[in-house]
Amino acid sequence: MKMFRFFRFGAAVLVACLTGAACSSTTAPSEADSSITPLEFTTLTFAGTLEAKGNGFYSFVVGQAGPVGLTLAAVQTPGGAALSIPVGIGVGVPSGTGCARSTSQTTVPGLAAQMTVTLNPGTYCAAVFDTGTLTAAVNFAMRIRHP
Amino acid sequence: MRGRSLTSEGAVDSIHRETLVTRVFCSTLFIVAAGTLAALSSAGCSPLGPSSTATNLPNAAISVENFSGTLKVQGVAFYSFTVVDGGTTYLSLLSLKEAGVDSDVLVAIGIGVPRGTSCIATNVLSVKATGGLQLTGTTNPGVHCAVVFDPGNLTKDATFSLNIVRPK
Repeated sequence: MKMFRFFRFGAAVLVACLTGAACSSTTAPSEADSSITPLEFTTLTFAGTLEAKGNGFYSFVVGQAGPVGLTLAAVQTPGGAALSIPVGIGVGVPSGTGCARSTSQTTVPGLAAQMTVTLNPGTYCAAVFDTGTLTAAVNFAMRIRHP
Repeated sequence: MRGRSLTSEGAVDSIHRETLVTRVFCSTLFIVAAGTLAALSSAGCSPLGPSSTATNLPNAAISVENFSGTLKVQGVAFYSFTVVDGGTTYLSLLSLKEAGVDSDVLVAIGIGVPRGTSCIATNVLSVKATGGLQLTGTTNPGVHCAVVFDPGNLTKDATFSLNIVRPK
């Protein structure tokens, strides 16, 4: 009789283990769960002529959410002389015949990114514009680094 | 009696003939009437008067934007727009004037996506300014652009007006 009770208890425990979580073993996170996809960046060069009181923009696609950096690398006279004159740069969405900027600032050319914004996947534009300091057309070069 | 009988049989025959003729006539009339109704119906008409069939655009919520500007000889102009709900976008070149005069030369219109400093068109058509819905393209949610360019037909810079009918 005792043996029968023992087997009955054992069967009950087995059923509980099979159906419940109480006896489930702890599993280590799989590789897929713990992996973080590294951002891959693309660098584009937007170069052109900026007229006095003018503006220009360059459209690009952000594939992954992440930081987008704009570097106004150079502003030059048409003859090639470097200028440190400030111009406006910004980021936005192409709209109508222009770029609807959501972020903008005035900056002089430099080697490091003057503007960094975090963007979700989508189509955006980088803009360069005269804030009123130009008296003649200049050439410019801007780097756009985006994920 | 025989003659009467004969007369009577003739009357019966006559009645039968008349009935037959009447039935054939009515059947023919019915068929003609049904055919006429069917023809009228298929033509969008009704015996009660002309009816109109509503032409529903496939997009429930649409937005119309006008893109006007100057197209230089062999030049390009484009206009960006954002579509929230996917659907079909229609382009219609309303007017084209070379040096202020209506022009009937062919220019190209297209739908695409803004890339770099231009619009990469995936759907292009050469059209004249007729004002009808000339080009259709599927636009998924996102940023798209409508482009107008001169393939080499303009002899002078032209002003244009293009309507963009798109899903909101």
